[in-house]
Amino acid sequence: MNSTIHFRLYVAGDAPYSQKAVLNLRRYCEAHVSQPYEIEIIDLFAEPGRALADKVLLTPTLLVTTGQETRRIVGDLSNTSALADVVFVGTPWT
Amino acid sequence: MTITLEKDAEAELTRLIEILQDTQERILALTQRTVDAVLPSSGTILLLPETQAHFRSQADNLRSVAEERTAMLDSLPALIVMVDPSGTVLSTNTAAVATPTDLRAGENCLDRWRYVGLSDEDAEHIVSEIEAVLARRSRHFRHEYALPSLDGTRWLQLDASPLYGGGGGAVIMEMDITERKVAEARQRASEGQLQQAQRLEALGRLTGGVAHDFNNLLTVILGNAELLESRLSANDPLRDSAELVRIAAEKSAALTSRLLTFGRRQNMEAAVVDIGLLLRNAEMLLEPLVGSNVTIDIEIDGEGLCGLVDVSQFENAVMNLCLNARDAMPRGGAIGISVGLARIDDARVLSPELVPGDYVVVGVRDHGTGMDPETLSRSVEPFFTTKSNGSGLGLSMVHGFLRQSGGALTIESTAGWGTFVRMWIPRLAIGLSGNEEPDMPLPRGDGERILLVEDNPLVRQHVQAQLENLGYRTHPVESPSRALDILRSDAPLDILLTDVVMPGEMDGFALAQLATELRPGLAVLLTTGFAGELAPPDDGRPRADILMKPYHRTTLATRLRASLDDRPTAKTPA
Repeated sequence: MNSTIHFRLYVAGDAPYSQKAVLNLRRYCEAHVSQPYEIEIIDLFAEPGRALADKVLLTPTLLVTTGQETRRIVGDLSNTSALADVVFVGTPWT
Repeated sequence: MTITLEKDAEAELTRLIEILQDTQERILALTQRTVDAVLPSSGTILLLPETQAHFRSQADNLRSVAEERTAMLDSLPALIVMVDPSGTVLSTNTAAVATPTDLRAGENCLDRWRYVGLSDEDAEHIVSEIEAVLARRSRHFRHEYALPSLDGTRWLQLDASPLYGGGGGAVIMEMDITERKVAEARQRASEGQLQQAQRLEALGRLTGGVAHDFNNLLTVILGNAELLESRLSANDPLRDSAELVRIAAEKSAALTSRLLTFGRRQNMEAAVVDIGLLLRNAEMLLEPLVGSNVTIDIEIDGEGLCGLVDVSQFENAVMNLCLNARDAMPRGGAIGISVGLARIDDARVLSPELVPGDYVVVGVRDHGTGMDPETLSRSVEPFFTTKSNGSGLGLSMVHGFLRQSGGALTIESTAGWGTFVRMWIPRLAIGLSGNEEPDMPLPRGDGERILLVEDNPLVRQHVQAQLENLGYRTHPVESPSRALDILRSDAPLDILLTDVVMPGEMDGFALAQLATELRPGLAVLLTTGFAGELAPPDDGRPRADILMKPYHRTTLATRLRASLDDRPTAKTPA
């Protein structure tokens, strides 16, 4: 269960919810994620093509990839339990 | 282009806008109002209302910050230029104070220093240092340089620092520092002048002191030599020796007199004279002095060029300056002498010794060899000379004479170009008085009684012999208190002859005053070795006659006779 978690966060420049999402994600990872992870922030203004390819409709949108599986969550990531559901899906509670 | 909407179209548009607003509301509701933008499949980003407001206020803030920065930069007294890595000007401020620098967007900044008129060396230094900053090999470059311009040299300070953000390049700042540079140069010059003045002051005290003591001894030597000479018969073989001693003593007296002039202790026979007239009269003397291949051109500007000076010392000073000018032009040339009035307002610009006021300025200019700064700084020191047979006392005497006259000496010189010496004499706005000295035969005494007060036994013994030889009777004493004993006794006395400076509580002036109180008809003659002692405050005390040491027998005889004859109530000798 030690495979790397990839976080890809789509933001709209320094728009307010996008900035909050960046902060919330970092804070969450530092506090709760013990396994290796990578965070990639992608600006919609700079790379709209990647957003379209990833079928991103809104910002902020977070894509969480573990192994082959990718899940997504929309919003400023202030709801940590919703975030945990996406990050630790299928992880047995110990 | 303007479109006039049909009624149906307007209704349709209203409906679509309602849908758009409703769509936005539903998206926000679905996402619990935590999203900024949506991305339809067209790839055109649509900002939700809150995000639009955020970016608008952010743009407003940036605009006001940019305006503040521009205002800040424009208020600085410096030109500030941003250049790209190739040195091309991107933007500049508008300096609050005009600088000679002129750089516009699009120009290459390095060209400015290449073509602004600097020396190749200076230009190359600046260009290579700025290139180092542009290449980030150097973190900062500061350089001060002089830029020749139509209104005189401007001094500029150049600062260049690399820009680490964005596309790189550098910020270059240039500031006009001419005022600061001029003030610094002035400050350095006046500090140098002050030190020079203090050094000369110390040297003056030293030489004056030595010369004063030496004068006392010369008085004895000169007097005894004269006595010997007068006593020996014309064909006595020893007469030549006595004469040689007298001549050597006279030469020594002349030397100490020059030293006393430098030390400002020379007795000044000051008179109010028209300095222009004095120079005009001296022209005849100066021409043969400088020789045939040097011409003298005297220019007198204005009238009433009066000052209080010792005429012979002034003439000596002019002669000294002309001789120096002549020696500086071995191949001949012209000496320009100018006399005019000048007002000093800003004290100590030219010399720390010049106080504000009106001056008669005598300038002596030559286009000779000139002096380097080192020689110039020492030129006034006694015994400093660059001539193989010079005494090194010429300028020292001129300096001392001017200081004693309340003026100053200033010298400007450039090696290879020439020298301009100016004598600053305080101007007097009053009329002239005559000054003549009658030539009299040696007057003798007729048994008058002289109270002689002199602490130096050698001098006392010598003067006593001289006086008795002249036909006087003497009461020699070594101190003022002994003199008072005699003054209080009933011993008959005609004249008090006393030294001014004596050890103890009383000087010659005080003794003279007490003596005239005790003996109202008594004549008084004071003797002294230097003029500095001649300044008792003008407090109403009777001003006694003063005889300068070393003196000739003739002078002593004449002055004694004059003092005796001028007594308020001349008594017949007992």
